[in-house]
Amino acid sequence: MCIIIRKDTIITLAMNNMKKLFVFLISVFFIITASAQVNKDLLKRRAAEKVSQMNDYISFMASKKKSVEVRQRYRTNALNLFIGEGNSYEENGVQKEGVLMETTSVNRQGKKNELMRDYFTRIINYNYNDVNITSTGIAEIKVSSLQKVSDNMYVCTCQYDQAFVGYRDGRPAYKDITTKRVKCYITVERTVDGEEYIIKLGDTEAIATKRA
Amino acid sequence: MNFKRLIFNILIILMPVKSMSQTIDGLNNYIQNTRVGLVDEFIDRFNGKISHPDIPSTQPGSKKTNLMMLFDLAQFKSKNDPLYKEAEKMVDIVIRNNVKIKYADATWTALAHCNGTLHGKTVKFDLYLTVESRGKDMYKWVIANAKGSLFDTTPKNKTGNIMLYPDDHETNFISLHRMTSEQSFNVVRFMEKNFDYDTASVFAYLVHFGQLKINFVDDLEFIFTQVPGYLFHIRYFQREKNNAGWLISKFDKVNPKEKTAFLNSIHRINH
Repeated sequence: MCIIIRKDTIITLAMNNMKKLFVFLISVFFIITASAQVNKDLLKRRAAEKVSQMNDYISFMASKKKSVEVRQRYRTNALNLFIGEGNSYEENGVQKEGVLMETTSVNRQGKKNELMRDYFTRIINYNYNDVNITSTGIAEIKVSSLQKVSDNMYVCTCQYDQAFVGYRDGRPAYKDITTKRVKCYITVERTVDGEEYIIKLGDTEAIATKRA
Repeated sequence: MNFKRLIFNILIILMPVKSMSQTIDGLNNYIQNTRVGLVDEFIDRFNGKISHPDIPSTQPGSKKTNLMMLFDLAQFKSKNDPLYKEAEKMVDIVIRNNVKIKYADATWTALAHCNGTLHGKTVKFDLYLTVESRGKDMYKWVIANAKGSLFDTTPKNKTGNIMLYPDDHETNFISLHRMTSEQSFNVVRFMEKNFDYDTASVFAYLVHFGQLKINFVDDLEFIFTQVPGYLFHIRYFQREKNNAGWLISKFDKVNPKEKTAFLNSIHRINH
């Protein structure tokens, strides 16, 4: 018995298989692209979460309702969110004194750079009966696009508002609102289970301060 | 004037004065959402990727309204202000030519107005920065030029026989010592005819040897040249309005030659 297969049938079969292969490859491409896009959006959300966490710690640090010991613990927790844990660190072979907070005030012109660890100490020691610091909610924190710095590092910036109220004898003695932008460093670490993302905060810029 | 245009014009005037509520502590989510908080956000709004929260994309003329809201509307006296009309023309060109801004463009520059210290004295100067590719989708900002009166070497005496005399070679050029100790402010007069003075190099030298420090960037603006026939600046406006954040603070009509000359001056081409 001899099986005869026509030439055009072979061509049709081959083309159908090519079409299926093409559709498969295109699908794989879109899945990979979509995954990469999802990861970037996820990282931006995680950066906003870190900033929100920092803001919570700042709020707890400032509250005189908590003991100094508890507030010092929150200071340590907050500093651990930053590069070098807020202490001096090395970057590209250059020693840096520590992460900076650039501050402004309604009572003075110009800007002042302060080490983040000193800024947090100042928050704990504010000379008011009580201090209330609140910040933009996580959903409203604005995050810039991720910029690639190296094969395993990205940077972005988060922008938010922070309101400060200092109380004396139960009444607001000082109020201001500052808009801030904080740099976020995202490091990709390859582990046995896959990729892990470590987010650390960097220098913070205070854009303007207005009396509330 | 047709009905749609009337609605559009009313929206443009009324939007900046829309009232908003504040929370007890003073934080205002509406302001945070409507404000152009990041330069990235300005670029995304300009490119139509996102829009002002008050402008639904289904609204007729939303593209134009969205772009107009990227201007600092306080610079216009009214919708009849010739400057406003010029802004509309610029926006029409953006839409017609589908102009987009990309971060990696070589046609935008940052202008940092710096507060510094030179030999113990406070000085002010400007740095122009541009985006440079590092390959593999990676970029960095680089300093392209420096400007300011502290780099000015205009000679104090523009007339007279201030020069190294033709026979100074016979006295071991004692005159060079005199030049630096008696009239250093005239040094440029002792340089050759085609002497090319580069302020960016002077900046680099002063910083390298620890003489010039930047205390902070006092003010920052960005200059964009992507729109055909125009050049515009953006600055940050901190205010409690739905027209706030990074906004077009000024714009100029420029011809291609002027635009090229501006870009060349930033990159020190044909200096």
